[in-house]
Amino acid sequence: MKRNNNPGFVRRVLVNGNVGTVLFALIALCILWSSLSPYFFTLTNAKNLAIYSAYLGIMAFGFTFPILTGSIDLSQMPLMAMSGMMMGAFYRLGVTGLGLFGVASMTGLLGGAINATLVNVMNIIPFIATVGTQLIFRAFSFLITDGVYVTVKDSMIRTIGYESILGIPVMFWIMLIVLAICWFVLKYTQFGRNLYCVGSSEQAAHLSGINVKKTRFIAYLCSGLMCGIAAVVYTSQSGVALNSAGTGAEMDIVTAVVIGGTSMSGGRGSIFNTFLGVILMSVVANGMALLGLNPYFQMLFKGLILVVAVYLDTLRARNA
Amino acid sequence: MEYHTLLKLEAITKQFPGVKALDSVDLDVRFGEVHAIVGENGAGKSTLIKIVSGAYTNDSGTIEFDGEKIGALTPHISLEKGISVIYQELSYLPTMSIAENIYIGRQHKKKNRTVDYKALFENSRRMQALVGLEHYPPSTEVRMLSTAEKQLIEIARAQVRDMKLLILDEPTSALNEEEIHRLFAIIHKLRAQGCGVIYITHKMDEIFKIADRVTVMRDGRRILTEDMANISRADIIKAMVGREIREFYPISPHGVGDVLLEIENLSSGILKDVSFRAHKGEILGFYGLMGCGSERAMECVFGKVPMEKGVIKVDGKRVKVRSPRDAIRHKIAYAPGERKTEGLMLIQPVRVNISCVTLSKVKKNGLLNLKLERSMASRWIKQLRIKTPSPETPISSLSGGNQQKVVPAKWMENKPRVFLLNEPTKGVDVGAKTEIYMQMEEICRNGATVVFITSDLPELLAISDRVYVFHEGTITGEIVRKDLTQENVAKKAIGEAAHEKE
Ligand SMILES: Nc1ncnc2c1ncn2[C@@H]1O[C@H](COP(=O)(O)OP(=O)(O)OP(=O)(O)O)[C@@H](O)[C@H]1O
Ligand SMILES: [Mg+2]
Repeated sequence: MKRNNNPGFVRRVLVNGNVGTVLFALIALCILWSSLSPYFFTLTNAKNLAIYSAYLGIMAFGFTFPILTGSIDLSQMPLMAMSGMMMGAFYRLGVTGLGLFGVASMTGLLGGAINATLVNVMNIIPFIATVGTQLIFRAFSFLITDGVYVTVKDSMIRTIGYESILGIPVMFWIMLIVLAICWFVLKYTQFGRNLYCVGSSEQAAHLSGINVKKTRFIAYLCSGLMCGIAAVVYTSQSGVALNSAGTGAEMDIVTAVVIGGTSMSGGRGSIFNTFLGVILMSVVANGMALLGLNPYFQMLFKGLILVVAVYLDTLRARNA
Repeated sequence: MEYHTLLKLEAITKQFPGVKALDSVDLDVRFGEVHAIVGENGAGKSTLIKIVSGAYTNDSGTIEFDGEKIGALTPHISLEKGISVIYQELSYLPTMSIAENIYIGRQHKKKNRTVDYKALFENSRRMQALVGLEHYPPSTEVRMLSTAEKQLIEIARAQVRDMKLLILDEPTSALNEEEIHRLFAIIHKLRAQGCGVIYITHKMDEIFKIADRVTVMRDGRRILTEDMANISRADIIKAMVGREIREFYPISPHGVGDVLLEIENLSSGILKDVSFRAHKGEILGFYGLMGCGSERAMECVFGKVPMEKGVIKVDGKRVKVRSPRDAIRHKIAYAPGERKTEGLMLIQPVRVNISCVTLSKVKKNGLLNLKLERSMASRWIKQLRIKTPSPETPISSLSGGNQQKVVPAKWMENKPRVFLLNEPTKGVDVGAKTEIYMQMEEICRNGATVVFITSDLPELLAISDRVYVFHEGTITGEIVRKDLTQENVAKKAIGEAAHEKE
């Protein structure tokens, strides 16, 4: 009769979903990949990883905001594409450097404001509202330039895309800066705290004098803004603004955030959780690409990981 | 006299992260006895019965039920063996009928596999009669019933199965006198039939009325088990807290000042044209049966539900309260009755729950100072003796009474001028109750007014300066301290003598 209440080791490790768990999975995966591909543990590949995780990370940090309040933003990838295309369009008009950055950010914010309005002012279920805008933003990213991509030959974009500081790509630095800011906002500002409160219990938060709608509104603005910043990073990877940017990777963000241990039902999680989730997802994607895995198998595995991640999240919620 | 043991627990131990909830606890319950378990908040009472119900598994120790050693109890096995538990958080399907709730999991099917409603309703009527709910049609939706009636539904459900042991965890914390009476009658009947009953409560009066034996727990240990005939109230309390304390209600000789809060002609939902006022330095009690409108009145003043008509005045000035945030701006506070859904953010740590109203107090240069926040939380944890491993523990892993203490704490820090409390001591132990009363006093002494709803008559009589009695959406009586008696209040609560109102 002894200790029969203790869940098994595997269950305990998976379900607790703490930082240790994700690190454990990450190390195991690295060992697996490097045993399968001699190319995995090279400097070039490390750079590849850094580049891939940069834009995914920035978006996932943004995604964390609405998720913490217990809602969701599924329109991020198309919004990033739309922000990139706006940037391209303005580049054609002669805007350069920080101006481009401004255009992308403003577009992202605008998209975020649209989502925020649908969810908080018109009270549409977040899932439906943002699947709707997912289609709308994607459509706009084609309509803005009539479906053609735009090559952006800007010095700032080139710096972000190809330069390194201390051996680390500039875009990874940008991601780290965004990470630090988000971490700070979540931990040390009233807004950050309100996100957690609203996500734990809307009713209790409301009765404690927290402005639930305003909090959630700003959360969507953050999510949108991050799409704008990610658009700059994404565009600088290739120097081209693509209408189809992020197609097929829409759910990578969700997977990264959830596998990091942030709860889909709100109120629990952190930016570091998200960061680890992003690195894990990047390693998964990178390894599969290195092995030359058939894209459909890649899709299959990503789908499986998403399902498992969400399943673990429900287990965690039940245990709490 | 010879006894037959129904349930025998030996050396039960249960460890939670950071807390030894049960430390080698023994307990035996006999056929046909009501066995009370008492102890301070967090003593381990609920944990113990959750082990008997199979909701938790013990780390070590043995369980014997009806003469049979039981290996591992699961909720299913426990039910099969005839153990029924009525938790403080009731479990019912609100939009299903009484009949379906009573016979949940038991099917009434015709040959063509459709539900045989005729048989179901017939059986349901029979079970309803057992608990005194025969006046409802079996098709009534359960959400229409009062808390007490929902509890009775659960007892009826338990009797469908061949019940040998009924466990009640603080069943009366939301019931009024009459409903408690009804519950006791049913318990007496079950006992006469040889059923064993475990009864957990914080109300000392009750155990002397209903229990045959009492077990006192403290800090996860069993302190004593004794026949009620051989033990006094003071002995029990001493065993509970481990030292001599005086169980007392701080009397309120506070000088009552000017009118602070004035409500005129308030109508909303069930409330019809209600007016009342509260003075500076006054503790004002609201009393009434379930659904009498007193809660609604508070919710209107706090801006939780809209008013159809009426005026709220603070300090003689009319104020507009459209949301809780408006109310907070006018220094009105409201501690709701439903702690799990309205009062607390269960997955957040104690610290976050305590500071969420007064976050601006722990800000420095516009940013949160977590150290200040933690020390604010620790202060309240100490003051109200909230039993928690640390301020960082999520509320959900605190015991019921300790969760309850956090609800008023977060508002007390805000120093409200009008403090509305809905059942502030629900499920709170004797010592901590006194502490909460003292905090209410303290708030009054600073010129604020405290308005509270309670279903606990002794509490109402002991600490109110003045009482409004509600009945079906109107105020049927205003009673000042010198006229406060049990009879006075009870009569007005059932609507009698409404015309006597001056
Ligand atoms: N699920 C849990 N996880 C962690 N700790 C728990 C859990 N449930 C209870 N505890 C701890 O175990 C101890 C005993 O809790 P229990 O709920 O049994 O107390 P109780 O005697 O029922 O108190 P109350 O009168 O407040 O209901 C408490 O210190 C509590 O913090
Ligand atoms: Mg309890």
